[in-house]
Amino acid sequence: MTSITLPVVKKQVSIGTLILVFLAALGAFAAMFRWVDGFSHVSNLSDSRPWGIWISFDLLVGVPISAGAFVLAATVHIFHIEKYRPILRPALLTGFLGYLMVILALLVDLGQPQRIWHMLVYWNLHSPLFEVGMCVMTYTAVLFLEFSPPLLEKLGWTSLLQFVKKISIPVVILGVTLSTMHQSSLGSLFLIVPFKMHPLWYTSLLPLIFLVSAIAVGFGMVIFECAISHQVFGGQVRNEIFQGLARGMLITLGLLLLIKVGDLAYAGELGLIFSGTFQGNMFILENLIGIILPIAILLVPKFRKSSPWIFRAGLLTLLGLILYRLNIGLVSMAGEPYVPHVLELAVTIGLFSAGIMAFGFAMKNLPLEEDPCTHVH
Amino acid sequence: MQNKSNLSRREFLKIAGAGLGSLALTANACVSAGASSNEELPLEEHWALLYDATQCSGCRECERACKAYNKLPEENVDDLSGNTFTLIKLYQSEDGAQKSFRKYQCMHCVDPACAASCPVGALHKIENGPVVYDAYKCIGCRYCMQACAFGVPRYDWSLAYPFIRKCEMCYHREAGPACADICPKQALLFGRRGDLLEIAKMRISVNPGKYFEDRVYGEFEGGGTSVLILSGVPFEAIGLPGLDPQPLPDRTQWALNIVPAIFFGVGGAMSAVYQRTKNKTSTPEEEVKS
Repeated sequence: MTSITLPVVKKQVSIGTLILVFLAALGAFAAMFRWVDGFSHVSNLSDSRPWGIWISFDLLVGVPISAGAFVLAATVHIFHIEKYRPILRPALLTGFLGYLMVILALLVDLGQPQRIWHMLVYWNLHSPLFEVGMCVMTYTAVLFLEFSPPLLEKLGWTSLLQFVKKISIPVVILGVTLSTMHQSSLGSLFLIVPFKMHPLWYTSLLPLIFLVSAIAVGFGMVIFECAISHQVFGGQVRNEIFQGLARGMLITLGLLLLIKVGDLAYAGELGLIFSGTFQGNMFILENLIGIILPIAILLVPKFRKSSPWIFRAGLLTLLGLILYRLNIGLVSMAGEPYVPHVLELAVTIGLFSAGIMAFGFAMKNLPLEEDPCTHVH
Repeated sequence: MQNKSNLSRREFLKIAGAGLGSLALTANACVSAGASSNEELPLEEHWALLYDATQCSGCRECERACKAYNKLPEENVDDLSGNTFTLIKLYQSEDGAQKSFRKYQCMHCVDPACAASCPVGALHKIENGPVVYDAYKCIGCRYCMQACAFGVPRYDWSLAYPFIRKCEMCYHREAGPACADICPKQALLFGRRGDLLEIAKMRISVNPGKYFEDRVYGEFEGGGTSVLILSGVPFEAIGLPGLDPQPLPDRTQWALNIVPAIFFGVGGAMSAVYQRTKNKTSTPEEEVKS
């Protein structure tokens, strides 16, 4: 049995942690308020705006920023590109925590949160949301399995660890399949509202655009968390890994740009982009930040080899995706004006803070940095 | 005018017949409910309402009857709400020359978007037409509110655990919807969809030019609705959305139809890639034997 060096627990608490704890507590308070008092005093949701920031950010952004898990799991376990193995575990961790946050957010958003399990029992095969719910729940379980080895190593449950490793390939394949399904069907959710959604965003290709943008941000998130975690937790950013991720992101972003522009051109709606309306400008912003700028950066050979520039491109891709999903959920939809309530935002920010804390805690306490087979003690 | 009252009488007879028919039909539905779900009633036989805005005097008896039957508290609102399932609104053109009432309520679509979108099937169309709601299944996700082109499903936002609230066409009421029962005019008729369409078209043909575009709203809109509307002013002017004849659920159905293909396609492709690339790397797949 390999001995695992326990990290030294630092007694002093940093300012950053204190802020995160405060934000998470605030979020928990707002959530309590919603569960006890109702929606009116916590949210600006209304009958014409039934979905607000909790759906547009926590669900529509939370799911794709967890896509790094399936993208990397496929790269390492299925395509056997071994050089990415060292960053697989942090990506799986982010994915797992991301989905937990999504589910927690849904427990705040749902009118009957105690019945979230109904989706597993009362099936409606005609509903894209049923597919999303089913996939999110099963995929969270799958991610837990994929992510469990470091936990089991830490606990020393060897036989269970052996079993989990034995079934790992089918589990990874199932995870990739479920991800393809629900990353795309998250976009299918909006196919039924052509009468509500601005034509710049409404297209039959929504599921495809959602999937491809999720893969792009999957690369972006891995770049992002890799850089951040290496800065915070020590270690060295491997240039080669970074460049590979950047290439994957560049290709996916190129594909995304092609689909989006091609689709608008086919529909004859390219003119709407430059209409000068709020929607048109938001569309420009979303694509400029999230697609065109990162592509431009990565097309420059010098920048493509530079870790700081790759990091910037990844960050832009992430910001662009957040904008895209917020545009889909809020800007593109007709209805009364909606600005999220302070406490609505508190829930979203609080959950995000809790996620970051959980990530930091796991990074410190679980053997995540390297796979045990290459881990040297 | 002579002509018109004759027509009304004929209509009345037809409606009476239709009402009786639906009575028999509900009884029938109760019997066959558990037996077979394949026996779908033809669309013409569905419960339906015909609202003729040109006949409506805005007396709002229908609102009161709805409140009474559904035991809803009185409230002062200018839109449908968690406690108001039907509402009469007055629309006026800016110069005041044109005015029209409009009755808001669930349109009971032939292929309802709310029912297709509900992840747990809490909203569904029953055999004889009404789109009804099983509160015990509902998780409160509000996708139905998002999906409905008419903005019908409502929520009581003041509650901590709200349910969806909407008109269910009084499907438990033997005489049909309470609102149609009470209407003192020929503005709101209850009957079978086929019969009501016929009546509506008869009104159009007897009064050429009276009705907007000489057509019935809801015959084809969004795949058709069970609430049919005749209007003297443009439909848009009384808040009726222009919808393609293609039912809204069709827009998502294709994406759901390819889900099995994605499942097996992606699963298969991933397995194939795994097999092909397995031997290309030097690193053994067996993990650490700790």
